[in-house]
Amino acid sequence: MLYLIYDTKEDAIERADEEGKYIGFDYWIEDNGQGTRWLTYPDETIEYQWALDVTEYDLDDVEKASTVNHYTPLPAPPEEEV
Amino acid sequence: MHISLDSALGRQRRLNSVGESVFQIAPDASAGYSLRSLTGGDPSVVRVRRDSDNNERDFRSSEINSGEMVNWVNRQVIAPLDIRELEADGRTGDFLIPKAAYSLRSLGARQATLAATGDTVARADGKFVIQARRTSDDALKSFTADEVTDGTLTAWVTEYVANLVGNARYFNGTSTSVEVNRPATNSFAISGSFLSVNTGGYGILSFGDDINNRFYLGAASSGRIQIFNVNAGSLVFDQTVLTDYADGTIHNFSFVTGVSGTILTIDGSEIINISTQINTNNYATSKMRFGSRFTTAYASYIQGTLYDITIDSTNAYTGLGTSVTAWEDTIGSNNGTEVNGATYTGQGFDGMVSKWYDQSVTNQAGGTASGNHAVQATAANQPQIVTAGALVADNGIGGIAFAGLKTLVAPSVSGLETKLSVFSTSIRDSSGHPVSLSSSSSASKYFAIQEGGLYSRLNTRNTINVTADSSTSGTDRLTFALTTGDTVTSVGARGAALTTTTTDYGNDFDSDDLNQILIGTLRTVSPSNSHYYNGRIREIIIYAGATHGDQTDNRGAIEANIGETYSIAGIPAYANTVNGFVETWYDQSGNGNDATQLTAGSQPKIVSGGSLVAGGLEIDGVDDFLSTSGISITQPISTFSVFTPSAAIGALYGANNHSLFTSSTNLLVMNNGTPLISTNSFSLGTENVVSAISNSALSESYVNGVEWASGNSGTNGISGTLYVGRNTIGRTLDGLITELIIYPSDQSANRPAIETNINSHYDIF
Repeated sequence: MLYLIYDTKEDAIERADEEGKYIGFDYWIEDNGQGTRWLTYPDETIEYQWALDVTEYDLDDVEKASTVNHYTPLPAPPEEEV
Repeated sequence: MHISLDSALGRQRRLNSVGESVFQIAPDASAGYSLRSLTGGDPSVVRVRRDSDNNERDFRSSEINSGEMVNWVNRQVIAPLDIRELEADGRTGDFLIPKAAYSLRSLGARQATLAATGDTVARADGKFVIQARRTSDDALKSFTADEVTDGTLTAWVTEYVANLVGNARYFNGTSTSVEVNRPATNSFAISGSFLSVNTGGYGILSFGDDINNRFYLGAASSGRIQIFNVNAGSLVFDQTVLTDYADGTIHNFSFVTGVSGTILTIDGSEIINISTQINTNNYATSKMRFGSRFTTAYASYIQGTLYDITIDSTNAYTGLGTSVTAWEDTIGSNNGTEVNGATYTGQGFDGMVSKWYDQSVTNQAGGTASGNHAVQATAANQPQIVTAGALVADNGIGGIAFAGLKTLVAPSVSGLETKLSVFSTSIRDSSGHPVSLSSSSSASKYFAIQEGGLYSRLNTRNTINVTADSSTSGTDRLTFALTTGDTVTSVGARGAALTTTTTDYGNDFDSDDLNQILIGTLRTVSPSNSHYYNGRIREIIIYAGATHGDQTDNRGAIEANIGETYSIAGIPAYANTVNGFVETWYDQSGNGNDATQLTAGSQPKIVSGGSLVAGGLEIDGVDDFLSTSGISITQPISTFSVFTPSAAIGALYGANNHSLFTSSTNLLVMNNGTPLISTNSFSLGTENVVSAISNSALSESYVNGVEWASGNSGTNGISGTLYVGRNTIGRTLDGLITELIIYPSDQSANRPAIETNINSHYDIF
C-alpha cells in the first residue's frame, strides 16, 4: 500500500477529489451532489496528520517520491471489550 | 443473461409474500434499509456503482428481483478497440489491433485522432467517425460520434432551414393541404414563402371547382413556374416561366391581380406581368387551398413547406406551430383547416457519407492511426446518414443506409493476408454483401460476408469460390467471418457456433491478393447489381495478418459489446464477472435517512464476480460501511436486523455510544452505555434475524424469535453519524447485512409480527 501524508484533512480530500474527477466518478459527472466521489478517503494518523491511500492513484513524479508505505492510525476511542 | 434473485438464492422470495409489508405492520420507523420493499410499493432501494466503468444507477426492489440490476452491472462496456488479450488473470494482455474499424459510435478510448481532410470548412483534428456531405450545398464536414448522436450532424445538414425545422408544417407531396376562404372578388393580393422539393408539385395555392373552373399558382422541379386560370371552360391566362423554383430552397412569392392586370413576383423579381385580371366569376366554391391544386383529379400536391402567407392584408398565417396554430388567421377570422400535415423536420435536406473513418490504431501505444478510411467521391453513390432531417436509424439505433450502387471503399490496404477476421453488424433489407476484402484487379479474389434471408454467408475465393453458411433469419445481423488458411472458411451468425467449410479456396491470401476494403458490395471488378447491399450497416471491424487475424478467442468479448450496444438478440454475454457496489442504501421510511458511502474503496458489494451477492450487502470486515447522519432519537429504540456473520467482532450498526455488535466469541452485545451481552452465540455463516429493544434497564435482544438477553443496555440513543456495517470505533462487520429497520419507539408488541414478516420473506428460522 502507498500513502501520501497531508497536514490537513482538507488537503487530503482535495487530492482525493482530484482523483475522483480523473476517474470520472458519478459525483463529478452528474453534478447533482450524488454518487461516488472518492476512490479512497483520508484517515487520521497518530501524529494528527492525514494519510491518503494512493495505491491505485495516478501519481505525478513529485507525489511518487513522497509516498510512504505505512502509517500508524490514530487510535479509536476506548470501548469496553467483550 | 438473466439472473433473478430467486434463482440466485435458490428459494422463493417475493415482495411482501405474507401480505402486509413491514411498514404496514409497524409504521413510523426512523429508517428502513433493505433490498426488498418494506412499504408494499416498489421503491428505489439501492444505488449501485459498477466496477467496469464506475457508472451508477438507482434500482428498485423489483429490478433486484428481476435480475435487471445484475444484468446492468454485467453489461460489457469495454468497446472493441479497448479490449485486451485474455491472460491467466483476465483481459490484461495486449490490446487487440484491428486492420480497420468503422462505426458511428466511438469504438473505444483508443479511437484514432484524425485530421478532417477534405472538409469544406477546416476544423481541428478530432476523433471523427464520418465525413458527411449535405445535399443542400454539397459542403463536407467531419463529425465525432457524439456529434452524430447529439443533433450536431442533423442540425448541420438542415442548417439552411434551421428556423423552419420543428416549427413549419410539412406538406407531404401526396395529400397535405390547407383550406381557407378565398378572396371574395377578382382583385386581391396573396404573398408568402414556399420551399418545394418535388416534381410535379404545382399546388402552391389554388381555387376552383372543376377542370373548367380553376386557378392555380405552382412550381415544379421540371423547371417552371406557372399561373393558370380558366373560367366556365374559357382560358383566362396560362403563363409559364422556365425557371426551377422547386429546387429545395426558400422562395418568396407575391401574386397580385386586379383590373390593371396580374403580376407574379418571385424573390423580389417580377417574372410575370400581364394585363389580364383573374376571372373566377363562375366559381361555386368559396374556398381556396394552399399546398395543392383544388380539383381532386388534378390535385398535384407540393412537397415541402409553405408559411408566412398573407391575403390582402386582411388575413395572415404564420404557417408555424401546430396544425391549428399555424393556420390561425392572425388578422381576421378566416382560420384554415389542415389535412394530413405534419411538423416539418427538414425534409429534402439529406446527409450522405463521403468518408467512413477508420478508427483503429496500429500499435499498443495507440498514437498512430491505421488510416484505412472508406470513401466515396461520387455523390450519387454515397450512402445516406441523414434523411428528412433525422438520422437514419432502426429502432432508434443509427446506421448508414446502403441501397443500389452505394458503396464505400478503402483503397490500397496492405496486410489483408494469411488470417482474417471480420465482424459485420447490419440491418438487412435484401440479399447482398455488407463487407468484402477484395482485389482491385481481380474478380476472383475476395473474402466477403453475404447476408441472405436465412443465412449469413462467408464467400472466400483465391481463386476457387468457397462458401460457408451460418443459419439465421430476420433483419438484425451480427456476423463473424474467419479464415486461418486456404482450407478454413468459417462463419458464425449472431453468436452461433462457427460453420466451417474445409474446401480449399486456392491459396492462403498473401500480400498480392487482397488490397481493398469494400463496404456495401462484393468486388469492384465485374460487379453485379446483386452484389450490392440493401440495408443499414452499423459497424465493420476487420482484423488481418498472422498476429491479429484470428480473433476466435476474442469473438465472445467483441460480440458481447457489439450485441449489447445494438441490442442484438442471441449474443451470448461475455463472461459476466463485473463487481457492483452500493453507493446508497435508500431509506424506505420516507425520512430520507439514506445510508451512503462516497468512497469507492469502502462500498459494500452487491454483485460479486458478476453474480448477485446471496444474502444482502457484503461488508468486507476491513473498511466497508455505509452511514447516515439524519437520525437523532432517544430510547426506547427498536431495531430489526438481518445479517450473516463471517467472522467474530463485527458491528451491525453503531452511533455515538449506541451500537449492536458481536464479540470475539460471537456473542451479541447491545451497548448503549452499558453492555448487555447474550449468553448464546452466533454460528458463523448463518443468517439471523436480530431484534434489539433498547429501553434502559428493560432492554431485550432476540435472535430468530428467541430471547438472547434482557436487562440494562444503558440509556444512550442514536445521534450524530449512524454507521451501518460498523460502529464508531471502526468495528466493521465481516459478513452480510440484509436488512436494518430502526424505530424510535418500543416495538415489543409488534416484534413477533415483524419477525414473522422477515422470516416469511427470508426463510431464516
